[in-house]
Amino acid sequence: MNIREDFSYLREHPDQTYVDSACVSLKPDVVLKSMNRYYEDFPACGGGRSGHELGRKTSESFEAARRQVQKFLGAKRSSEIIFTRNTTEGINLVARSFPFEHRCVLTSDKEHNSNYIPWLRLSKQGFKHLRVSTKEGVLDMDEYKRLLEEHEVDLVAINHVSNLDGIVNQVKELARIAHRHGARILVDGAQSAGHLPVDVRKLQADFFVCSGHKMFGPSGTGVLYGKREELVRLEPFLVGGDTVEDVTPEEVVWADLPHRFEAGLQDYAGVIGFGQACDYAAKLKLKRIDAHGRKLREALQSVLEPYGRLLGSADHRSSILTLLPENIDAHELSLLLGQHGIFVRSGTFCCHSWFHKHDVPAALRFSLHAYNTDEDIERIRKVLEGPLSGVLSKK
Amino acid sequence: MGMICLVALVVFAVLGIFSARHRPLAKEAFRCVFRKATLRKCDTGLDSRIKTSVSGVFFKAHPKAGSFVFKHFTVISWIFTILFFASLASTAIGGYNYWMYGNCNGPGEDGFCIFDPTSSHQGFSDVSEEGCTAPDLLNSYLTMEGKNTSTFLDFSQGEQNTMVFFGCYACEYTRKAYPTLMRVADREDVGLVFAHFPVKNQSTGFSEVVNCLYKENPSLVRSFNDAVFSQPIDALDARAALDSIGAPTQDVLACAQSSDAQAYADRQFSQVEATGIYGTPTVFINGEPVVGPKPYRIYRRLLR
Repeated sequence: MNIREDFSYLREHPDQTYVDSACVSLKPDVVLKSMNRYYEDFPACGGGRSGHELGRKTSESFEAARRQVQKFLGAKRSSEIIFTRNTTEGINLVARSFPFEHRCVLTSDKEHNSNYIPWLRLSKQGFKHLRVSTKEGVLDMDEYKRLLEEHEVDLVAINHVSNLDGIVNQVKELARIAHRHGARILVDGAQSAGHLPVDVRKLQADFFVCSGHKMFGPSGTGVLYGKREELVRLEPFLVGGDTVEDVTPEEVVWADLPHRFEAGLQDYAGVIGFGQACDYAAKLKLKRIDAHGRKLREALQSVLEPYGRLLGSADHRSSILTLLPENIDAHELSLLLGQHGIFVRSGTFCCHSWFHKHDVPAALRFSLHAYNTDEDIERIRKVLEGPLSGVLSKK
Repeated sequence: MGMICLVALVVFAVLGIFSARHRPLAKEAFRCVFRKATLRKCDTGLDSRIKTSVSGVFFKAHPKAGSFVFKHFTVISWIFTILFFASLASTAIGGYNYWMYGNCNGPGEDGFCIFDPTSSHQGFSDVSEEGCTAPDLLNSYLTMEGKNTSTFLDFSQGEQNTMVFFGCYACEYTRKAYPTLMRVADREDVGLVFAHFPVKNQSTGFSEVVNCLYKENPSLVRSFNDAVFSQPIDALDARAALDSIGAPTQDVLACAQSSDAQAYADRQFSQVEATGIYGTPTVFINGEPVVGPKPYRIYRRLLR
């Protein structure tokens, strides 16, 4: 798979290796052009606010993007697609609006802060926040089942692919078990959407959240998918313009889905770009992207293994590889790699709780995507074995 | 490695005065230093960024050099920090000395001063230079205490401060100091005492002339000095100077030729020499010696 020519950044920087796609992916020209087209050709208010042609075109493009995302995620209806700024906003929306009955939430012990802090905050208000432990990054299914049996859980909030170690959770199985115990499931798909095939109905997710910026789309875009019957139970979180059908001194008549959850002027350019990103990813075929990522990840694994410990079980990783380097600070190593044109992320990847629990210092994360190639892996190997060999120590 | 943040703090703080871009870096450096001082780890990452940036420069030159700098950065940063603060202290001391004494190296010292690269505040004419018939210096220690000043030309009239000025009409440094000294005399509550101390051949005989002029009409001495100091060094002309100020030229010159005047000048020379003078101009302000042409503030500082 060689799609580097689709990306202006890679055309202009052929000697650089970008392996930080888990933070933000690069954007193909087709996405950038679609966004520019909005600003150049019909930069107007959408959502039916303005009746002129430009406004109409904006609304049509916006809703077309919604259908593109619906198709991409396999949702039944476009009204089940709510545009947000990112995964974080989607999770917070559910956390604030979900009609908790038993005030009990279950997550893993390895969640991104965005899928941890909202529940931690609720736990300060008397909620129960249960955490399933992971071993070598893999969820302990026995403990998962046990916790669901012993507690009346309202909502399971779990990542599809971990941003920490790339481990893929068997979400379909988790959803089946959750439903059997009367719990709903919210799937954090930030690292899965755009990297592997996602069908929210096949996954049986009640809610699914993801970000546009991690799957070729612009930053500031995201989506909350929810089954219609679940979304209608949510009380709108952010309210204001466009969220209402009517307002009287005594009551509010909420707009229908999805608009009741999309307050204020929307990021039209961003959403249009997001829709294009979905089409672009679908055109590449998610199965191919997934296979390509795993293949490169395996090659990278053999390059990195001598330099420290790789987090997570090797059998369950996607295209993310996280290294705890030996005898060198991860931040410093990432800066040194950056000086040689290799861009990785170092730190705790917004998983502070996991790092505290395991008393582990900062790590180095390599996250691959469809535009990475064997040359990127080779470049990494050359730098580690060449200029940086003097500062690295092998196991 | 946190030591490097201390240097970064000073550098970025100074740069931050002029550049908004450096202020966040100064804040980061301060946080880093504060945390280190309270025995905690630096959490801004500034120390790592500095380490990798500096190592990166060496990596570009040669991987081995980069590795060496990277691996030994803690020691290198300690050495650099110590050198930085040592040079900062040295600069501060030099600056203080320059402000106080017009010379980076301290009072009465010579040697290069970065704040005075042309040594304009340090020069003096050595009393042992060519043509000078001065005997050996009685003492290298400059003092007016207990010295006989009977032959000095005294213009003071009960002012709070006394400025004793020894200079040579042909000395370029005396000429440089003269306008400043006269400004001090005019503006401040200072009583002036003057004695010509010839160190150059061109000014031979001028002590007698000015002493005689003082005897004749003390109020003309200032004008005479102004006139002589404005003449070219190699064309000093006492007669022309006297004429230009309306002095009784013939009488003054006749007096200067007398044996009494010469004996007086010799006594005066010895009395000046006895103060330990080693160069002109030498000024004693309230007994405090200053050698060489200095900025106004130096003299001002010594006044009560």
